[in-house]
Amino acid sequence: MIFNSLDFALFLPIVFILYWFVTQKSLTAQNILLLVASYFFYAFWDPRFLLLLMFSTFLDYFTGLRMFDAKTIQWKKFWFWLSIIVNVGFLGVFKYYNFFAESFASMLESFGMHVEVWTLQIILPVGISFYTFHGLSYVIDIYKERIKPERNFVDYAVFVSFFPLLVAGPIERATHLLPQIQKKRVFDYRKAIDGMRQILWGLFKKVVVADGCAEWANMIFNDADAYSGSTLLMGAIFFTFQIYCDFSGYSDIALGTARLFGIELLRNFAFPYFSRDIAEFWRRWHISLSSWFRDYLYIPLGGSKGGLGMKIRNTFIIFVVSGFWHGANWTFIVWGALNALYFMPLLLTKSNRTNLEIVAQGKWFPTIRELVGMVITFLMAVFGWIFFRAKDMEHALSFIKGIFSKNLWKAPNLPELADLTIFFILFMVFIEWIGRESKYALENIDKVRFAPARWLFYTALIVCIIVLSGKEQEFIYFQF
Amino acid sequence: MKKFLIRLAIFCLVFFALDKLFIFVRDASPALEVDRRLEYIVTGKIKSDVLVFGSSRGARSVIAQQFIDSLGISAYNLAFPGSDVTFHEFALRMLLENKGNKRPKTIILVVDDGDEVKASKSLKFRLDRMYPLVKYKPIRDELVKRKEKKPILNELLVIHQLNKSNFLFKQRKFTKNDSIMPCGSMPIGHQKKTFDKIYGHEPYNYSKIGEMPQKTRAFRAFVKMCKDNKIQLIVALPPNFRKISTGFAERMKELTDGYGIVWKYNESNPAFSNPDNFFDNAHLQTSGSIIYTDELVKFYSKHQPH
Repeated sequence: MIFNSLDFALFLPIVFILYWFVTQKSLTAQNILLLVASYFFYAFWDPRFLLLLMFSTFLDYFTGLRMFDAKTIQWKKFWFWLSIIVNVGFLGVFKYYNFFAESFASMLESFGMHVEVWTLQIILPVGISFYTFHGLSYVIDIYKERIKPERNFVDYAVFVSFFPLLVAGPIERATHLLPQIQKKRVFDYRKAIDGMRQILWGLFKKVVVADGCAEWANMIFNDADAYSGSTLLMGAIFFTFQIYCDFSGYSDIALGTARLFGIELLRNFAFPYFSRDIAEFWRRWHISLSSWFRDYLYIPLGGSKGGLGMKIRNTFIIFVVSGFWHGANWTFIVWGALNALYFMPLLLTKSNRTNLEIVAQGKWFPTIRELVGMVITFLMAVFGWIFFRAKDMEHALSFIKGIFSKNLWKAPNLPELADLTIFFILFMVFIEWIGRESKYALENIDKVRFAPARWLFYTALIVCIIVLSGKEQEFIYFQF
Repeated sequence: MKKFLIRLAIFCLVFFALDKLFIFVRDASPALEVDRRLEYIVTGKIKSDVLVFGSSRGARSVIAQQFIDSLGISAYNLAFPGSDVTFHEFALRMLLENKGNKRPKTIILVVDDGDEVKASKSLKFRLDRMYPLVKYKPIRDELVKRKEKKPILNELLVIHQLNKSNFLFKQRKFTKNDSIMPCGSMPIGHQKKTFDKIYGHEPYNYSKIGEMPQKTRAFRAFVKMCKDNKIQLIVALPPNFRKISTGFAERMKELTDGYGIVWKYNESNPAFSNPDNFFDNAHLQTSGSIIYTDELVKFYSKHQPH
């Protein structure tokens, strides 16, 4: 079941009504309902993978308890490593086995040895990277004695599989989400309205902007040889907005949906394309994953406490691992390494934490310096996304070569309907610029006191969503 | 909670009422189109005895007017550039379902040599031709059938029936490559700049590999409709700027299951290896279309149903 489907449009009100009208008196009943609804939501894709999710949940729940109750440090380590190995093992088998097997075979072939590789013909379970990371953070936090294990299995299972975040995050932390699951929730009118608004904005970004951009980005990326340099550049820009609106749209819907049930999830995006440098971009893009890698990889590796060499090494490691997390393909690794390279000048000049506040705070327009910074950062992101979107390295390199070798300064050759997509991109950027000081673009729309104007705006967004919703398009991040 | 639900209900009601205003957008769309042939089918305005179906090769290669002039019969071209056999099947189904249309005596299906039932980048079900006509229920039903639209929403909301193209409030115009004669044909009077003019002497060996089941099903359904309605079917192979494929005509015979006549143009006619008669490697230009249609008319006159 995907958020932009009719199935979800029926599923959500049913769960909402049961949650607030039938089970509202008992916290246990509410949590059981959330768990059943979440498992139903997940099983809608493929019920077989529900068993994997249940096993992973039970493993982390059980090893968490065993670790906490262990009498000796050896037993604590045993349960800890058991959980880590099984979790990472599942991820390795489902997501990375074929990549390693094929890369190993091609390496041997370069030495003149031919090997028949045995590859797995399986589909990647939806959301495995997300719920595995949930579980890992929980187990690591218990091992490091940052938290105590959850003894109520239902509560823990809801923490792992709460349906708004199950398949594409945000990657939650036990310290943030579990206390909310354990506490009685009370219906809050303002929060519910806010949640609906965030869902609406998320749907607009996904259905209108991301899916619109996808049409042109796919057309151009799939037939790159046929287009001029300027059209290829437009293709890369379309993909830049596609991936942002697809993923941040998903996150907005997830956060809004959770808020309808009285639960606040971690923020995942903070208007990253308004960043003035790449360090700021990474503080604003997929925040829950970046902070996960910071806390569970970068800091344990020594973070920025060591010498310059260690800082550079650690930066490269987290960016490359982050790239690899996205998929088993050299293009993702190169994308990660490229972002590490972007980061280096800031790291070496110790200016990676200069732009911490919101750009042009309290003002309508940025300064020239800020604008230049934003444009350069945006173009760097566009260039990086080419690797992310390309099907392999050859495709990425020929695409880049095409941009610079064939009529870059000629007007791009795009179908008439692409103008409509460009209009929606500009509209989205405008609304996000106005709302950049809030948690999401429409949070402060209440400041428009004239209610009919607000309703008209919502109506316009819904009209665009319904008109432009053709066949349901899955969210890009589901594949990760 | 009560306040939340009441607000939500009021908003839905207001939205439902506003939605009905979009009927004006929906109903204005067909008049903005330059090619009204699909609309003629849906509204029952097709009254010809000989109809041509196919993609751009059918639209450009067969000039229906020559049938009218030579044989004094009514003929009309319903071939749509870029359309595949699933679209032809849909067009014929619509034509036969609407009793306002005259049941044709003969259908000439101009097939795409090599690509007719295979996956092809350039041939598809022309959804873009459908959306301007969503004011007509059969079109809406077909979009639902093809899972482009949701059945319940399609009934409830006018805006769900629409597509972004309905909001391009601009009168479409004929282009250099897409002008339509009154007989529905779309011959092209110039040559493509990138046409390499190198004749392909090596015949292409047709293989079933890559055939799409939905396209073979649509092809068979097309033939069955002709058979069930006692319509003569001529499956015509148009010239490419190369030797005719070996095996493709046989495959077409196999798919027609003995009902249609598979007709090949005269390959030894030097006109079909003369680049001056071609628009590009796959399409004739007007001079070639006249010669090709002339051959087709002669063949038809010998096999004309009574």
